[in-house]
Amino acid sequence: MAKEPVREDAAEHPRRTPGLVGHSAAQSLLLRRVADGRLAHAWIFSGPRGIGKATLAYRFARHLLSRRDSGSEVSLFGEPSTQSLEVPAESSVFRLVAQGAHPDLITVERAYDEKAKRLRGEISVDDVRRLTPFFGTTASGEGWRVAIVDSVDDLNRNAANALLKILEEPPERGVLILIAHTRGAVLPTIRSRCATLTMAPLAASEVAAVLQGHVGDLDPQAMAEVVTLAHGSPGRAIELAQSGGAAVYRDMVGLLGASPKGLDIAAVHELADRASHRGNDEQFRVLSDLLVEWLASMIAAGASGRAFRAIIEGEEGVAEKLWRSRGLAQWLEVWEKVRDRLVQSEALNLDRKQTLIDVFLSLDHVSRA
Amino acid sequence: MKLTIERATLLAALGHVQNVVERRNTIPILSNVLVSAGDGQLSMTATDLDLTIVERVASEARQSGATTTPAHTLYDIVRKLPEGAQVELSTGKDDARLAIVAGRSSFSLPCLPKEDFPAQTDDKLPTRFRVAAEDLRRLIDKTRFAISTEETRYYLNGIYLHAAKSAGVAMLRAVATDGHRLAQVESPLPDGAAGMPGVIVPRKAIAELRRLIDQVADPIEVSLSDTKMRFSFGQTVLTTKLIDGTFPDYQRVIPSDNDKTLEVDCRRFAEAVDRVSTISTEKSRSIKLTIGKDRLQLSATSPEAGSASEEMEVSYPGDSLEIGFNSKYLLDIATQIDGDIARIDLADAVSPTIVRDLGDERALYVLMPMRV
Repeated sequence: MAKEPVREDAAEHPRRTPGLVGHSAAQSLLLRRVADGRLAHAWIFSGPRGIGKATLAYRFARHLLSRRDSGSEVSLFGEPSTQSLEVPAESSVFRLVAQGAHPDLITVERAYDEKAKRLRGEISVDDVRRLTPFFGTTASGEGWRVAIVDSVDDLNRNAANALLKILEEPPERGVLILIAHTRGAVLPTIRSRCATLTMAPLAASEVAAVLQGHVGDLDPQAMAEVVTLAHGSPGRAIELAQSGGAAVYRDMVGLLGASPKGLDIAAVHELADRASHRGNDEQFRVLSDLLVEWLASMIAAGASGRAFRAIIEGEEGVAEKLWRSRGLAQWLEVWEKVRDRLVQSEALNLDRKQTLIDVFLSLDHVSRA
Repeated sequence: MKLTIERATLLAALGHVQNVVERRNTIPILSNVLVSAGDGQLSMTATDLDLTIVERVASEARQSGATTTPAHTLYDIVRKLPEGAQVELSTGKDDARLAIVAGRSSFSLPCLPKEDFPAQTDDKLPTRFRVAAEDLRRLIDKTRFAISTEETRYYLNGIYLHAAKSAGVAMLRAVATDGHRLAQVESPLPDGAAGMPGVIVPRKAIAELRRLIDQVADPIEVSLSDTKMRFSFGQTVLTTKLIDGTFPDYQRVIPSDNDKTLEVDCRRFAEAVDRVSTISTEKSRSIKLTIGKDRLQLSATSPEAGSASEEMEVSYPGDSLEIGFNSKYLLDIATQIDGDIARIDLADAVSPTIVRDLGDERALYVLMPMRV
């Protein structure tokens, strides 16, 4: 039996997640569209990683798949007859969707590579082409057929073009939900054929609530740190909490603080080792994201003259010191370079540890001059 | 659940259902077969989400219940048990394992809850009729070779089954085409099928159905709506989704004014085509027919492979004509013809050609020529 693909950026696969925190406006918009009978055939759910786009997509899919349109009464004022997208977790639709075994739902995500024993880096054209026979076959129930593409960011060029073919001839009673972490990066030809639902990051209290439910025993201090670092994304908060993100952050700021006097090479190696462990993809992404974001907020604080929003003690001093060592233009250049290096190392499959060491060394070098 | 069943009975039933289960499955529950016992019968259900098969055998359960377990593993176990063995199937208290005991062998298989199995919803299938097994086999056998495998034209990936009038007589008609050739076969319209919607039955369902009805003698119960179709025979019920598309207006491509009629001895013709096609190149596989009064010359030339030609006597009164065909397609059609004489109606070198069995007016084939 093939191993089930694991979605790397969530603690639990969203198709098994019953509840959704926040996003009430998005949910009621979808409900209204279904009730009006004016549901677009393709949607882009866009917003930052980990805020619940896929969770909403599956929630919406379950709602559509449980609808019995033929018997239901249409309200005079087009008000939704049901007030919620909620489908009970014990219902058969929920159970089948959770198993990935609902006949009228198909998910396109990065496939599991048997040979390399890990998820593929992208969604290939063959994965997308599975949609053609799916939409070419009648629904098993009497209702909708739903396809979820998670995510558009993972589509390679050919896969995106194959998806376009399907969007150009939308199937009857079919809905395509495209999940996009970066709406701007979606091909304009795809974007123009979809309705967009922009989802905003959650409030800190909501993030904390989700985090509590998933991780539980976290001391208030660590909880607050993680929530702040998560920028309104519960998925990211969970990831940070589980991968010891707060500690990584502390170590990272510590390393940056040692410049320009002298970088602790042993500590750099130790941190890079931890973050580049094979089979531990999220560690590397957590550290890269934290580093790029930290540099960005350091530059923003420096350039605007506002205070640096410190999460751990002494952080503003580190930021202040680094900022003074160089000018705005140079820092922007450094920030861009660091970001590109980290993205490239994934795209080109470079050695992660080397990349990280190199980035820290070059930051150290910049701050010395 | 607890019951004892004879190995042969269990094996036959499992043999029917396990074929539907895909070998490589990323979704664990779809590798499983739903085994349920109760009401004096044991039923087994397997699905690939498009196609569902249920097989029922009589068996008195000591304790009723249901669970799901890996289909191929269960089949392999039962297959390897000695002939005549009595097999005991039982689940423990928590339904987490299925125990299989026969003689001194015992196995324990992991189970998944039956609630997670994509069960068939009770559908409304308004059209119902009974068709003779022999007729259904013929409809499938004579058309399935023409089913397209091109995924982009998904609406051709099946056999189009519908009610039609042929010379004023109501018929159940099966049509398949891949854009290069077309097969149309008819059988008398069964009672109750008059109002049936035209449906496209997917290739996999056709293959599975044909395999299962090979030995069936009794009429087959068919029920359908415009989204689903169900075939019941013996202890088996096969339900399939349909292809959601519009079958092309095929009658438009069947020419009615082909005036040049060639009659050939079908068996000899097929052998000659097969011989000459040895030379025609892999890719195009083209073969040329040069037709003169009562004479037919088949020839093929290829720059690398050389050339071949063969002559045969035919019945042809008209003007001489040169026309090319894909030899594989010609052979496919010639193989479908059971009678001695095939009648080929031609117009010219670029128009569709009709092939008929002189002894069977209910089958018709259309073939597009190739430029040679």
